[in-house]
Amino acid sequence: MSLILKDVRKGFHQGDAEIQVLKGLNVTIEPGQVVSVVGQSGSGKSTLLSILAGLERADRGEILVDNINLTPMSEQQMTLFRAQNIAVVFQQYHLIAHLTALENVMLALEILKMENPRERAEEALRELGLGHRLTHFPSQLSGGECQRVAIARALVVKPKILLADEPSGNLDTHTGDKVMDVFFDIVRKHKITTLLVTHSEALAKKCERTLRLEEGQLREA
Amino acid sequence: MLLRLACRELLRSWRFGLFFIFNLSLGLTGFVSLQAFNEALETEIQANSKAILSADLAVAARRELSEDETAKMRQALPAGTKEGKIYEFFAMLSSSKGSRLVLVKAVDGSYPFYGELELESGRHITATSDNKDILKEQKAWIYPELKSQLGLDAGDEIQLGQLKLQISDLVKKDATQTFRAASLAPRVFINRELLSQSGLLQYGSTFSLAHLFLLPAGAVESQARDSLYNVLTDPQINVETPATAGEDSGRQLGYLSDYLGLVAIVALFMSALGAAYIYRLFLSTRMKEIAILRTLGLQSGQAVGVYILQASLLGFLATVPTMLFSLLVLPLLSKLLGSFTPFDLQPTITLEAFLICLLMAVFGSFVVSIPFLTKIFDLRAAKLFSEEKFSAGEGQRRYWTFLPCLVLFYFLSVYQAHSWKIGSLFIGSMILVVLALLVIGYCTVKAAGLIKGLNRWFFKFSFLSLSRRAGASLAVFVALGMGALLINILPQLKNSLQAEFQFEGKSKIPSLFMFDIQDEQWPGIDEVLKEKQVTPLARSPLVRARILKVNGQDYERKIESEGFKTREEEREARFRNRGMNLSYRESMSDSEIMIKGRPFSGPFDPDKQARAELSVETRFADRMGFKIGDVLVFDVQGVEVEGEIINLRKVKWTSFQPNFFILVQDGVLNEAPKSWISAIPFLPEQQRVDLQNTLAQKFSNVSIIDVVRTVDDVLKTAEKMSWSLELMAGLALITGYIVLFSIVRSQIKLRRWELNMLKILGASGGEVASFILTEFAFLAFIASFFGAALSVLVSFALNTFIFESEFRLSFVQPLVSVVIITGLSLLISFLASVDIVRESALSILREEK
Repeated sequence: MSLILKDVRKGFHQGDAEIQVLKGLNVTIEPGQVVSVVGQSGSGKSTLLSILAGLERADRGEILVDNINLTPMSEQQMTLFRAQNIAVVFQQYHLIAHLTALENVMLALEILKMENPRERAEEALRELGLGHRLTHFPSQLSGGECQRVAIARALVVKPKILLADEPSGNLDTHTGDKVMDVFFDIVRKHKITTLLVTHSEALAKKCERTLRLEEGQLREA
Repeated sequence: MLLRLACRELLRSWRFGLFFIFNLSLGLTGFVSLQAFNEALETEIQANSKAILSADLAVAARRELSEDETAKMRQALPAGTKEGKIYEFFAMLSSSKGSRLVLVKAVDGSYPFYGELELESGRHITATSDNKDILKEQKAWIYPELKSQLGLDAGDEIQLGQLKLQISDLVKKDATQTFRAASLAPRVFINRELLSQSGLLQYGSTFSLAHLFLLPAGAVESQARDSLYNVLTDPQINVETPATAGEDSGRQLGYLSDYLGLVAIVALFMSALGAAYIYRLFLSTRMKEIAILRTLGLQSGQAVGVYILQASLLGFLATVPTMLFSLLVLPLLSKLLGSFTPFDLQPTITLEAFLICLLMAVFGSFVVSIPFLTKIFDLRAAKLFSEEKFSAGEGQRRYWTFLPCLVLFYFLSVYQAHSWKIGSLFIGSMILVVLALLVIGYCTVKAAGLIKGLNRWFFKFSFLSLSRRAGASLAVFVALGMGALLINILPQLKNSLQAEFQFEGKSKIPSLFMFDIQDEQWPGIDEVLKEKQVTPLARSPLVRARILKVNGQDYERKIESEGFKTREEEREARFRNRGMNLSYRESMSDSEIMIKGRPFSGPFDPDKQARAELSVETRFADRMGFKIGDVLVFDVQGVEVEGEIINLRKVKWTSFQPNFFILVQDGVLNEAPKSWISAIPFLPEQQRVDLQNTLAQKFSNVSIIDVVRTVDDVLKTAEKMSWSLELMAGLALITGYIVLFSIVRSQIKLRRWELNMLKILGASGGEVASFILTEFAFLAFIASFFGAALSVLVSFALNTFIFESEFRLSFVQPLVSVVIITGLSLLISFLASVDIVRESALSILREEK
């Protein structure tokens, strides 16, 4: 699934002053491409992810996913589109504490009313090397394992686009590398268009393409 | 430094502070309002105590004092003391408009030494006023109830015994009357000098006599009282001062106030539950900061000190809304309770009520926070080094930390109920109910996790969430269950009470109850009854006596001490100091059951028996400390009668059959001077009124209680009383809902990111709302169902064991309450969650940064 941004702009009001965070982004990401976005803190990386996930509206511009324009969609249409096509992985995992690893993954499938949620969730977790941790609660898992459950939850619904926000930011280098290796293997295997926001130059280099967000503009790094 | 730290943190967490204060203040409102009302009543009674007694001192007895006693009494009093004398007794008033049992107050010219009677014509009757026309002519003043009940008014003729009188006026305000609700008979004031003409006081008639005294200036009432007690040794003679008269008159309202106090405690308990829950959540979010402060050198004790300061500060601040809420509740409460008194009560929040509120709020907040503050000692600051997310949920459980809270509630209950027994029973029942709700709640939430086959994800995961978050779910469950229990108990008790007194054709409850019947009047009465085709239910002799000795020990007068007394102590003193009505019968009546001991061995045989056999009502025995085998010596009109308790009986007093605390074996008192008591079975209204009028005209000294009317009055009073109880229960329920709102709100806030995560995973706002509402609707339904079911059990237990009446189950009220509570809980959950359901899932990303 391709992702095209055309003159996307976003600003915030701070008192009387208006701060332009995104000043006309133009980029095209090919289907199945794994792209990293790097930039300094406050450069607007999270704002970009929010807009792409449909959680926030751009002030101007168009976002096209497989030539479908997301901009005029209603809140309800956007929720449905996001659920069927876009998944998000967070830095802090955001697993539901009182659900087991398996239940956390199943929940995503059940919300979308997909068939055989248990089998599919088990398969996803096994693919991420967590077959032996299915019935463990997040508090019983290590940070790396939690992030792998979060990745399984994101990927199990077979999204067309994956947005990842510093997925290894909470992990040590060794664990982070291991998790990200699995992550890259899977997104490539399933040909998922991926946008990865990171501070890590090393991680960015593992992607096929790196974009730098600077002064409200996206540039090829 | 600690105070600064505490204040700074509170300012930063002002939302938590507001919720905590709001919770606590709602719980305290009922308590403080009641305190303020009681103080106002007490102040009013104290201010009017001389008017209530209508003298400085009164010597009261249920018999005439002997010449010797009268002489000693006068000698014991200081020179210059003025004396008056009044009689009070029940009698039948007849008129062309009907007959009615009245309380005759036969007074003399000195009445009342203090206070006044305000008559409808505008006359004010005082000690020195010369407008007492009842003393000059054959006239009477009557209470206005007789106008509404019989249509009597000024100018009408009435008859009391042989005495024909004209009503000269109606009493508008009587300063000697303090509790107006359930008076058995309206008062009629007549001239004491006319008593002999009335023929009403015959041998064995029941009456109260009071010698009223106006002491000279400078005389001390308590000293005069002590001097009188020294010379008047008969425990049946009571010496009353304005203080004791005030206490006595406030007692009836005091009983109601006791129960209101206990309901107020339930509200307080629920608010404490809510406050504790909110505090636990607040403290858990502060643990990381406390750990950081620890690494900066703060001692555990100092950290605990900061939070104790905070809790105390919050308690202090809670007094402000408590005062404001109380000012709203107080007028309503005083309107409901004030209608039972003749005073124009204007209760306000006094300094004492404020100080009690302050103490309760500050100490209560501290006690509520103890179980959670001790977790600070378990805190391991080293966890800050860990790469894992900081968690403070560990540490050992110290169940003893809940003990101060329990002890506080226990003493509060005893203080409110004025009874160790009722206070202990109340707390014991509360613990049992809470434990039962906890067990049921635990099983419910665990079972919820096992529910399979649900096709909607939000149903499935709601139940899973309930089961996995058992602690939070249980807090909601207990709060709602308690609320449901509370609102159901009162109507259940009322139902049973009403059912108990239902007058149907087949009812066993008599329609008329007669007393003061003389031996020689029976043939005449029998003739009237035969003519009217009525068979009396039973006739029981009544012999006046007093206890001289118990197991060889002199049975002494118990002088009531001042200060805090339990109701049991008050009751024991009253029972000890009054004479006994003894009776005898061959076998037990339908309304009595022997529960311990053996039955009477037959008629008394002086050749074979050393002493008579006695049967004692079990609760009376309990109060007086009597048991089987105890030997009592009575003075029966100057003759000593010795008896041994051989059995204990349970009496169903609501049967309105003639019953007695002490029954003596047949053959012992048969020759003693006595009067008779009897009852007439259920009759249609017209026949009942007709019979009463005939009996009242022919046998004027016989007092007749219209049981139907009396029960009706009692039910009306119970209804009025239950309004005030329902006000308190309502307050407890509102507190319960605020607690629920606080808990739901806190939980939803805590789960904010989880709910937003669901949206990111594709759940719609409606589905997220359904997810939350399913959880709370399920909890509310099960909790209210079991709360209502437990209320049936508790009402059954109260009816059977405390009120000893028949329990009548009504399904409608509990079922309606389940529906209402579930509906309200749904609404509250919706209101508490609506903004989070509506907010953009974006917040989850923002929170990360």
